[in-house]
This record gives sequence, structure tokens and C-alpha cells, in this order.
Amino acid sequence: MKNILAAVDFSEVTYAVIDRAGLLARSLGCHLWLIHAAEPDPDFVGWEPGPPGVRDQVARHLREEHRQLQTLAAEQREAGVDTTALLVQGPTVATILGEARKLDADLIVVGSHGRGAMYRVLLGSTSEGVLHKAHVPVLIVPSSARQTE
Amino acid sequence: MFRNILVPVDLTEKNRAATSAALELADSEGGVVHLLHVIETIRGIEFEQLKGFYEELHAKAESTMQQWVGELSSAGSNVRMTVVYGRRAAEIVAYADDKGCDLIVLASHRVDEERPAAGLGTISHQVALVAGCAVLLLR
Repeated sequence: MKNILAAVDFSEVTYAVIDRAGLLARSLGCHLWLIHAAEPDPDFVGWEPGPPGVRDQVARHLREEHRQLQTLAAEQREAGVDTTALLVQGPTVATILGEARKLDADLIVVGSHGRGAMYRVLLGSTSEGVLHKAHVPVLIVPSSARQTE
Repeated sequence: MFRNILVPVDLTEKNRAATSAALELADSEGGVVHLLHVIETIRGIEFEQLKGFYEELHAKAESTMQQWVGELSSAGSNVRMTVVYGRRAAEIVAYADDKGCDLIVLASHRVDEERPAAGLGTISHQVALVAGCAVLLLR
């Protein structure tokens, strides 16, 4: 195993996902890729003259997500894990699976929102899409996962 | 890496890969791999009526798991085998809770996009939805 891809969405499950992915990467000597699939631009924001306020807001949002992702990657590097952060714009499930192929990922780590939100998961979340369609093993980490010692 | 890993087994060949992965991921010092086989009981018929049948299944499961453990694990591996009766997904999740497992490893297949509903009822999907610990789905 050489490459582990962890999908980060900045929700409450993010730290559990990175904790598990980092633990595996460190133990197995793998490279850790932290991927955040940023939302695509709204259809009405393009190259044509458009609402500048919306473009500024989208740009601010992307900069903030980029900053948060880099911080998470730096924390893993400090813990001794060879880590790269990638912010990619696009539909979440397709983007995660596409990057997994490009990076030749051996494992994808995603979060789920645990038992309380079962119906949300059933109705089509990122984790459900990834676990259905991925070609490689998938580690699903609930937000309330029991901690590994 | 992981202290308590649960591998639910249905005694088919695909379980070997899951067992092998679990042994690799278990802590070298003190890590335990639990092999769990659930014998699904037939609802509507008293257990005692089919006791002989269930006992045969039980003996076969233990014998197969013992053979795997002998083939796959090294001398120092701490592997425990358990056979229980009930509904598979429910028993798997309950066992993981009871033993404080921090990982469940299952073999799983990709969902056929032509027939997505077929994947929703699989044991791996059910366990992934409701488990209280991380779940690793192997392809």
C-alpha cells in the first residue's frame, strides 16, 4: 500500500477521518492525500460579466477552505506523516473517485455521520456514493468512532 | 494499529482476504482479531426443532475457521473465533459494540449501476451504515 486518500468535508467527522487515515499512513509508511471537493461554481458565475459580489464570495470561501485544508495537512506532517493537501472543484463523489484513480490510491477513507443520521446516509451522501462505486477498499469512519489506542 | 478487529465470516473464500488484511492491521502487541460467524436462524420455527441442524452448521463453521487461522496467522497472532445465532448485520454490530472493536473488516463488491437497489440490502452495506466503529470494505 502506497497511497491513502482521505476525503475531507470540514464537518464534525473530519477529525475522526484524518485521525484514522493518518494512523494508517504512519503505520504503513504511505503517502496521505487530503482531498476536499469544493462545490462547483454556480452556473451563473462564469467568465462572462456576472454578479461580482457572488464571485468574491465564492473566492473567499475557496481561500478559507484552502487555508483549513493546508492546516490539517501541516498537522499530519508534524506528526510524521508524508501528507499533501488537494483542493479540487467538482461534484463530490465523482471528484473523490477521479482523484483516487489519478493518484493511484490504494485506500479511500471517508466519514459517515453515524447511527443518528442513517436516513441522511441512505438518501445519498458522499460516503454512500464512494462505498458503492470505488474500485479500491474504502474505510468508513463514523463521527462517533471508538478511538484506537 | 487497531486493538480489536472484527472480521465477520460467512465461510466463503472472500473471507480469507478480509482475515489476512485484519491480521496485518492488528497491533503487533496485544491486537486481537475476532472471527465471527453468524448462523442465521429461521424465523417462525423454534430453535429446538432445528437444533441438530444448527449444531451441524456450528461444528462446520468452527472447523473451517480453525483451518483458516492455522493457515493465515503466525504463531504470535491473537485470533478468537466465535459462532452466534441470529440476524447477521444486527449480531455483527452488537458483537463489535460488546467487544469494543475499533475496526470491522468486510469483503464487499461495487454496486451494479444498472441495479443499484441490489446493493442496498447487502450485509456490508448494512454494517457500514450502523456500526459504531470504522468499517473497512475490501474489493
